[in-house]
Amino acid sequence: MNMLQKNGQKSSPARGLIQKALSLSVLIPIFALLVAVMFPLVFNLSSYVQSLILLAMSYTIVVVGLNILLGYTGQLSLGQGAFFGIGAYTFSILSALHGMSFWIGLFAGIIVPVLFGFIIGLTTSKLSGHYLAMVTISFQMIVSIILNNWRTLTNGPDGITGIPRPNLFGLIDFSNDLNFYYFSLVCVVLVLWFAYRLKYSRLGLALAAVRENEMAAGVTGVRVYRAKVMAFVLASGLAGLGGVLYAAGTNYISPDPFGFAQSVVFLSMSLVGGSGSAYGGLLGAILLTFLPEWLRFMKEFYIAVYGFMVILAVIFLPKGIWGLTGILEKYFRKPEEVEALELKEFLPKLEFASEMMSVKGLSKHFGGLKAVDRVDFTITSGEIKALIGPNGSGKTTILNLLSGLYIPTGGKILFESQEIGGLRPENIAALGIARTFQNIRLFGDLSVLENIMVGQTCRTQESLLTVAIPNRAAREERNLISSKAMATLKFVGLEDKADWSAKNLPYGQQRLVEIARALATEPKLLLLDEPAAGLNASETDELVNLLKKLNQMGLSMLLVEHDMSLVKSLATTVTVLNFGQKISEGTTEHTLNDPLVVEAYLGKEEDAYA
Amino acid sequence: MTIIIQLLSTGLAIGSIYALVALGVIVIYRAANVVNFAQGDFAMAAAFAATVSATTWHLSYWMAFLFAIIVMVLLGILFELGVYYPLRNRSFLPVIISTIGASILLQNLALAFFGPQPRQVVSPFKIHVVDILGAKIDPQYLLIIAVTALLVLFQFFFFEKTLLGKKMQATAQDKETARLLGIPVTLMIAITFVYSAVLGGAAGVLVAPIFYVTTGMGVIISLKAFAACIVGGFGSITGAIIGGLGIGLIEIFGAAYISAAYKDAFAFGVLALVLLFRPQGIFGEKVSEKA
Amino acid sequence: MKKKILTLAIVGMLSVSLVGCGATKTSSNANAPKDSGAEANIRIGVVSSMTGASALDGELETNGAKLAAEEINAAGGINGRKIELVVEDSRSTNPGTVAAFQKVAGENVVAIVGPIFSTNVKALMPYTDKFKIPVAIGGTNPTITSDANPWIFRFRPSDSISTQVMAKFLQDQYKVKKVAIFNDTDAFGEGGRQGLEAAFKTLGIESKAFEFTSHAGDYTAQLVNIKQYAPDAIATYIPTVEDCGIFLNQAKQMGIDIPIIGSPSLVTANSVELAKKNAEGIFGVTDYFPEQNDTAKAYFKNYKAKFGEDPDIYSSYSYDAVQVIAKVIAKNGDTPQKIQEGLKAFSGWTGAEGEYDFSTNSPFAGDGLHSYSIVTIKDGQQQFVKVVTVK
Repeated sequence: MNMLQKNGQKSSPARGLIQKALSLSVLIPIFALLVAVMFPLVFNLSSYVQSLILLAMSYTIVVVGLNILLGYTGQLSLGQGAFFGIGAYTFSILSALHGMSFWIGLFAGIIVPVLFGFIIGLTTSKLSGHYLAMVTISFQMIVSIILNNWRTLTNGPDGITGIPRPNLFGLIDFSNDLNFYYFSLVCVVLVLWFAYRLKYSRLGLALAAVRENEMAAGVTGVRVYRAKVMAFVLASGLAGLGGVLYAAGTNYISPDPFGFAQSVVFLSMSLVGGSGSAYGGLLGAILLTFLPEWLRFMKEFYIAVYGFMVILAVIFLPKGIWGLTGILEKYFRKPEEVEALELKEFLPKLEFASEMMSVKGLSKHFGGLKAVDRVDFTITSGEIKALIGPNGSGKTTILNLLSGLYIPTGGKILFESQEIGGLRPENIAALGIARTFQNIRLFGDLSVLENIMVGQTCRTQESLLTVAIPNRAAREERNLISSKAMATLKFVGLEDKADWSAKNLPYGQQRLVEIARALATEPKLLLLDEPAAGLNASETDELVNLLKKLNQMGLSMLLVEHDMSLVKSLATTVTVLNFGQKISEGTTEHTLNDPLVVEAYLGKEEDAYA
Repeated sequence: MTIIIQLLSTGLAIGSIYALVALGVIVIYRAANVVNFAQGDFAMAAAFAATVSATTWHLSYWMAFLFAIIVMVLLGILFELGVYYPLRNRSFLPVIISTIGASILLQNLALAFFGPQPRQVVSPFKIHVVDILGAKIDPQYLLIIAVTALLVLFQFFFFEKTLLGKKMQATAQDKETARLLGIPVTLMIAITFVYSAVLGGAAGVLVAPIFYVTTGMGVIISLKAFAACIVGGFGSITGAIIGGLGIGLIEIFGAAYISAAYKDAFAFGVLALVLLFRPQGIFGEKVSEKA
Repeated sequence: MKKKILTLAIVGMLSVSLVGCGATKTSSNANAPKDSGAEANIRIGVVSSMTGASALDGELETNGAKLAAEEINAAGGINGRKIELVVEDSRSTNPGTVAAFQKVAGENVVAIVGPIFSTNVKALMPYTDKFKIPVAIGGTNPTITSDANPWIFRFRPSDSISTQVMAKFLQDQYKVKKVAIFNDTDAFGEGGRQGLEAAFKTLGIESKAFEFTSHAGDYTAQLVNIKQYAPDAIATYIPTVEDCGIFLNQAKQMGIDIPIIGSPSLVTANSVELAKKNAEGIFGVTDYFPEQNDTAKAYFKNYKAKFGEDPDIYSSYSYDAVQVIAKVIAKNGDTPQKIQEGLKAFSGWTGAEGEYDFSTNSPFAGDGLHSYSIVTIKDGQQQFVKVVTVK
């Protein structure tokens, strides 16, 4: 599926629309939809099959929600069953126990889980990985216990019966399973539509960046925390909607289907179908709902087979079954035409030489270790300053402090007269500071162009509404973003690799992509952490030319390097660190001949690489 | 006072079980960076091995225990080869999920082979109750506490004082460097899995005479053990032990004085609080990613 | 190109699988013999938990039905026609029960037996009206029949009866003034607790509930509190045999020496085997006991001969259900409607569970049994005490 817009110059919008409509990515879903609509009318389905289909549909919505959280954003949650249960119970308590209308119940059945999802999402500011998984597990267990024991609210283990179906002013009888099927189908289609659009929107790209490499996402301008919270909100809301459909479909709920076991089932559905896409969720939910039914003939062994298949899927199909379509896609995707802008056109203009950044008394302590100890330096706009020193002298720590990955223990960092010490990485990126990493941090699974487009996140806005409803302004903005991204790619000479998966590029080219990505944030200051590391002589020369050109365009740079010839070719000033303290600074010529500096390196010169 | 001793002994015994399982989790985590969701099912597998061998060959409790340990060594190796090894270079997510799948598989294989009937392991004790200051205590509880203490001592001695233990520590801390120093990393990790399986298995056989053997017995133990790991400080061995004992005590006293129906909620409630306010737990160290 | 073929293939696969489901149903219909003609079998569905958490009990349920069907067929069937059982697995879950129920209901059965778990029963109740087939259930939660669903027939006495029986027995036998209730927090245990509290209140006995959640493992906390409460007896509603075993062991260890009476699982063979000596002298209410009547005695003998184990409550109700349904078919006819009407008016036969009377349907609509047996454990065996009937 393509990120890039067709940008052919001579075709009319109508023609473009027709071309798009006839593409298979539109035809196949429409065909599937037709099948889904006609199927129950053509075949006379037993109540048994109908119930299973309704079940599969409510599960689909839940699993798509999980996919957004797990597949899109990379956050493991084992609490989807709890949100599912909260949605089902809120809806049932209001509509069955307190006689409110189906629609109020439906609304509450989505909003209440969302509130909980929001709260859980907030915990991601501090927790990730298996800690996050444990938060979701505890939440799940506590919810199960409460559903079972808070009898005055939930009827406890007796459950709630008499759950109503929708009421559309009495026009349609939804107690007829077929009509309710169409109602559910509408919900499922809307959810799939939204999830699909989300994946290929800029918000979706931001979520993918968080999943691929959270640290890089942050410094590239993605609001990481906000993205995770949003993912949780979406996952919980969808789980709630699924719960409502489940309750209305089965007419009776009790605490049992909303426990930890159910969360594991949802996770299995997500993994087997493919957690990275909406269709994967659909596939997984349908397969794992019907599989136990098809395996009924296996009697007691069916569940061992089931468990075994889940393991097989995880080991051999990391992207699930739907992921199989993706693998082929990468090799056969036609590169789209994108008209590139000129990089000069959108890089911030250099006004006049002034003090751009001023660092005063900057310190960073890790317990007793003083990694950075009261360091001062300034960067003038338009200059290239090198930061050098032996290994462990605090260079990368300083870059981390400047880019917001660390919070200073003491001292000030002023950027264009604004204090930025302690700001979040994405805010610093928005202010105009970009950085690259010593060990390259690209978003491996995304294409080269997509990697770069993430850089534009801090320069544009996108809301969930825009994701849901296509509109011209958003489309145009997206074209602009691709054009700018293409411009940076052209600048580093890799425009023919735009559609490649970033992880498939050779090392030297990955480095260039990282720089292009940094440029896409339209920075005023570029922080480079050993950009020449791992490059051979000709690649290093190319890099030097590139950086010189950028500097001529007005980009200031702070360069951490070990390669002294690089430092000599590029830097106007040099600051030298040793054991966290500044031991020398001045012009390149002066500093590199400073006996203190030579001593610190113990004679190491340009022949030594990191 | 009697009541306190009663609750204390139960709490420490249950806590010891959690601690043993938690220890197994941490040991694998430190060596292979894997969170093993099937750890509680190791306990279940060992318990089944013990009960089946005891009934089929009329073994005493201790012989059945030994047999179960041997089975766990084999299971540890199988587990490492089948679940960890194929995924060892992938990120943590597929591995966790694979262990979840292994957990489901173990439970259902047990169900398929042994059926749903709960089984017994006969206690090794002739006396059924020990009176301590008026509190009536099951001697099996005392055994659990004693064996756990022994295993913990063994753990410290082995890892700190023996060469093999130090090699395993080295592997846990930095695989690459360990490899460069000539330590057979793959073998170390395999030994770690075996050791962890034995720990989990011991917990299962210790607890079987009291709670019988059912295919689902490992699930809730796993979850509480994770809670223990996190409360104690994920990655810390001392933390796993203290965390396990702590959770056991909180559960029992909470059930006695607050609400028995919400007993399970206490462990998870404490876990949630710790995660929110002190995620590194009691003994954990903050580990940040190197940029 | 390849991508497109693959996606088409997947979409096709999905469509085919859905068709496959519909097709399975129609083909099984084609194979099932039509109900007209004297040769055709009478199909009775069975919904039981053959896998999942309650797999042990599900097997027993199916056994009881099988035994009854065999006996009837051996004696010539129903008016010459044989009974054929159609068994489906509820997987011990609510969604599984609903699926199994609907599958079975769609396969030309005239009546359905099972399930035994109250929560499963409640899950399938919304669907009974769709199929209009009588369902013979074993769940004892009183609220099942309070809805007066015309298709549900309970083949075990409900827990409003068992609780009254327990309370009455404790008062008559031990003149208790204060009783501790020990119950599970699931539907079964909750129903028991509510029933006991009401029954004790009517009899002027003070009571207090001490709860646990299934498979909690350790009951020290509750037992400590029970000891402090210092009751004259303990009444239990524990669904699983392992919890029964643990409870009895730990109670004995803590020196609790007062009379204990419990719901049927407490005195089943499995539970006694687990608790061994600690089960000595306890009481239980049970709706099935071999000594309680002649059918029960014969059932015990035949079940043991066929399956090699002692039967219990899990199989006796399904045995009775098939027997009663057969009798009703013989008298009234073989359509679901006629069976339902016949069941509503059925009375006067004593099955393994006791004497059935569905005709006096107030206030226990759908309830056919009104008595429980009290048994005690002596020398590791169940020993009959007496039958208590509640009007």
